[in-house]
Amino acid sequence: MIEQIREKARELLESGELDVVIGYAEGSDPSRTTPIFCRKPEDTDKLVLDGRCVNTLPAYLNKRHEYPKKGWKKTGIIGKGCDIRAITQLVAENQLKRDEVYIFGAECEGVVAHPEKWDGSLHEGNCASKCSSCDVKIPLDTDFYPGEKPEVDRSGPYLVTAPALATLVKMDDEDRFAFWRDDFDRCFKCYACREVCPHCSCNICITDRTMPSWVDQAAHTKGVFGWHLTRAMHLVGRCTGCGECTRACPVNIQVDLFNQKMKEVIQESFDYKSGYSMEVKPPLITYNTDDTENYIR
Amino acid sequence: MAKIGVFVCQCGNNISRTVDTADVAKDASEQSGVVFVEDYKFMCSAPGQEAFKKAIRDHDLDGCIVSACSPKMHEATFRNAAEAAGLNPFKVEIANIREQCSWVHNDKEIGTAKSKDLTHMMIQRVKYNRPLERYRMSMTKRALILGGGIAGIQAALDLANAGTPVTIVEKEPSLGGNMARLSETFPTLDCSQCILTPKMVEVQNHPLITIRAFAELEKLDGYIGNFKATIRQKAKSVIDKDCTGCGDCWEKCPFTVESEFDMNLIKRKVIYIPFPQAVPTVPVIDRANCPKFIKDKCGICADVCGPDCIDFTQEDEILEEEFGAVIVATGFELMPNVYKEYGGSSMPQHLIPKKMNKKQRAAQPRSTSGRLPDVINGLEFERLASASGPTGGEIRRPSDGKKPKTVVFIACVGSRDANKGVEYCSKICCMYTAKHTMLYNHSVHDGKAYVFYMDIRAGGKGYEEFINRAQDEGAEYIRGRVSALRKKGDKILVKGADTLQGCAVDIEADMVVLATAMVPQADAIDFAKTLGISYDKHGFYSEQHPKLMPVDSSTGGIYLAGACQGVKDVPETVAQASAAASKVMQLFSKEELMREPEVAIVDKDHCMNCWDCVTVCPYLAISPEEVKDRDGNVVKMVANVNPGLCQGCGLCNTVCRSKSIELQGYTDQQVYAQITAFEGAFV
Ligand SMILES: Cc1cc2nc3c(=O)[nH]c(=O)nc-3n(C[C@H](O)[C@H](O)[C@H](O)COP(=O)(O)OP(=O)(O)OC[C@H]3O[C@@H](n4cnc5c(N)ncnc54)[C@H](O)[C@@H]3O)c2cc1C
Ligand code: SF4
Ligand code: SF4
Ligand code: SF4
Ligand code: SF4
Ligand code: SF4
Repeated sequence: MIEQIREKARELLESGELDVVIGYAEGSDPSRTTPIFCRKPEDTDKLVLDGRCVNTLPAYLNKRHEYPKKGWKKTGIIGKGCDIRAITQLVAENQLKRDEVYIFGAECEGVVAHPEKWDGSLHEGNCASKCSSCDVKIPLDTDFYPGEKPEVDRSGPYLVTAPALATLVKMDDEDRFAFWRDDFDRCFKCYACREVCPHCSCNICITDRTMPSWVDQAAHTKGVFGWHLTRAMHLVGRCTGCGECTRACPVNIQVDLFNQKMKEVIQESFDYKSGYSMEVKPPLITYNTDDTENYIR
Repeated sequence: MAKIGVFVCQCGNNISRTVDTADVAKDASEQSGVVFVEDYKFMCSAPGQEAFKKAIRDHDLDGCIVSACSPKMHEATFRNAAEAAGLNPFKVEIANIREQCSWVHNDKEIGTAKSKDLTHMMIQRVKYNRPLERYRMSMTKRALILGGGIAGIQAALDLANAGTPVTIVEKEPSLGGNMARLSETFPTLDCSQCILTPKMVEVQNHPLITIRAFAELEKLDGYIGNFKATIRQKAKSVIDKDCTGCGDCWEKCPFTVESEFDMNLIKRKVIYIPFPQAVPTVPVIDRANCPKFIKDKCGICADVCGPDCIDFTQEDEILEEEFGAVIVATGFELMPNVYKEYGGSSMPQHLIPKKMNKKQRAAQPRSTSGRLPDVINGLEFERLASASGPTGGEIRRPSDGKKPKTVVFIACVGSRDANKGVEYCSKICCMYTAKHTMLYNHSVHDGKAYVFYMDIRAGGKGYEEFINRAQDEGAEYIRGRVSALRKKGDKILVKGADTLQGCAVDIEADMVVLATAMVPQADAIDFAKTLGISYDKHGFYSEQHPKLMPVDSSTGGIYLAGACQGVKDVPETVAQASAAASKVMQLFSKEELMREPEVAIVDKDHCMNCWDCVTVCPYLAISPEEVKDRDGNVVKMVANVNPGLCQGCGLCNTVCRSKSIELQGYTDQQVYAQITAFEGAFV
């Protein structure tokens, strides 16, 4: 599988059709892979693709990063199904044009929840929970796919997969608040959760805005709650569920629990799943005159 | 250092009853930046405003707070006064200590404390107010009138007589609307055509009025003062400018279909004018029914036409025209008879509430056997009673042309019935039913008219007297509902109840007239969307304010007239049409259009061109704009607001995650300062 991708990537770099191919290479220790930007055809020999490839590479396509400004006309990217969902959403939100990227896709067997859990193979004990209900193991939209791509029914609803969420929703308000207060106590606002997210694409994040400073900059209870609730709201209908925010958190806060909960709400209220269409806009940013609320008509 | 003045108003005792205004003023004087305070009985009075201006001048104030009534009441008053005193009007803010404080509290201590808070908040806010300039825009001083019923006609004449060029777009081949169908009109019983047609002719001859009959508005772009209308002139198949209206074509046309104007009671030709006094007198070919278009046969009209103006190949024409104001006068229609018990058929689609699910929709009454013969509606009766109608004004029943000796009128069919019909009262039915009984009695002298009614609603000048007259002239009023209509031989058995006598009443009638509800045009909601105006749950167009702005629609520059806004009779329609015309005159009386500066502006450095604001803006005020470098290369795209279109609703502010768009006069800094000044705020 990866051989075919390597071959195709080499061919497209050689012909000059692509300026770069973003993928994964062996990392600093055998349990990890690292993102790699292949600029030269021979770089493609280093490409790997297996259950250790956790990063959501489309975050690099986000305009906020410098890469898209490097003058690369066309970027190749290797994507798992959930990564391609992120690309689809970026296109839907006008953050990327579909013809600016060339997508290499392959069937995905799932990824490890965290590199620390890698023991040489992928199994139930170490697989990321998002993979358990994944309907894009055969990816949605690819330019190159090794072999025949079978048709898949993806009409089912979004399903929450994090086990912790089931416990959380059952708690009463006070306990739930206590849970988050304790967890958030560790947050020191490094914003790793924001940096890895493919959809936190703002040129300036609201938390970095001063005059006025809507979200308190300090990492005290109020500042941290302010940050997380704002972030959760900003990703409503947009988060494509890669789980990177949680994985990236150096102090193990499960930040994507908010996002998963909101994905469920959006599914129930608007029958919308993000990352499946480049045309349909997220419900919270649409205005139509048929709206049942008559706030503005 | 700011130099802020605070003016606390007692509003007689409206405010001072529950707020210690002197204490509020004293407290304000201790706030940083406040250099002047005043506690006064009526700030809005002439001496109050003078004191306000004087303080601005004497103390060189750079911000003012008026703690008084709602900004809806007097914000403009004080902003104008500030401008006269040399202070930018947008440096004045109102702290609402009346509607939001004194009127809702009884306890003076609480009222006073809250007034202090509200005033503090505004003091902090005004420190961030920037001086703003109103936008000036040019405008096209031409008006577009949609609908050529009596409302459209009246508005057009008023405007044109005041010197404004007007275009009327009417979807039918002639002006006139429903009023042209009426026989005589309450409360004076003057002949409808006799008062309407002279006005139609006046419209036709007016040099400033252009009539676009048999035309429809397809699209409306732009904003107050600068609308661009796309009008579809449907193909008449007749060359307008050559046609003399001689009538040879429709005389000779051998084919007929039912006449919509005559409520299908009689036939008309396939090339036709809807009624003899039609304006314009240019006929149109009904292509759907003309054999020339169906199978390329006939063509007689073209042979007989002297000036040679029949053109079978004519195509629809799309016209783009500019206007400064629009008057919507699209009128009403009658609700179809949906009552099975009255021989009615299925519910018309557009009256089925949107929220209904499939199952509920399916449960709506279906077409039964069709309608009972000789059960007609009010407009059909009008045609039967009209001298120019199918029976020449003699009342004869449609089925066999006999003179009906007994006629039963049923009021409130559909109206005041939230289940199957509409919840509101159609208001004109009591009146026209009374009129109908009189017209009937005048025509059939030995006839008997019965009226089943729920209540009589006759609140208008001369209206109650009119009802009395109908009863004096022989109509028998029975208070109660009719439960069913049955066919009995060539008669209709009316099974009713008399709730005053407490008994059942059976009447064998020769004809039954249903006063069905007045409802908006079937396409009213779609049309509202084309125009971008709001409507109520029935599809009547909503006025800006139910009492104080009854002819302004929700969108600037678009005004409402006649039955499209709500049920109305002719006098009310005409009054509203003149009012709408006067609003347009007001607008056009100025050289340029002034727009308030409270519109959105984009932080172009940070906008990330997600177009969320573009998608969400209800007024389509935002569009993508290119940012270019010195050499003219496009560096990036950003959002750009058209201040002419922006209504300051603020939706874009809420969707922009990175806060790259905000409202002038309501900037985040102002609002933040205001919130954080509140002692109870979680800061
Ligand atoms: C049975 C009956 C009897 C009545 N008797 C009386 C009476 O005796 N006295 C009295 O005062 N009132 C009476 N009325 C009320 C009177 O008919 C109305 O008040 C009046 O006709 C309203 O005028 P209008 O111009 O608002 O609407 P309409 O008369 O409905 O005119 C609307 C016009 O707009 C046109 N139009 C609609 N949609 C469009 C579009 N999208 N584009 C372009 N054109 C469009 C229509 O073709 C029509 O010409 C009676 C009503 C009924 C039903
Ligand atoms: S990554 Fe973790 S620590 Fe860093 S800001 Fe996010 S939640 Fe806080
Ligand atoms: S948290 Fe919100 S404002 Fe910040 S980068 Fe993400 S989406 Fe943008
Ligand atoms: S919020 Fe978290 S899970 Fe959702 S897309 Fe961003 S990084 Fe992925
Ligand atoms: S929502 Fe904000 S960032 Fe997006 S286009 Fe509008 S102004 Fe720019
Ligand atoms: S304030 Fe409202 S009308 Fe103005 S640009 Fe924003 S969304 Fe549009």
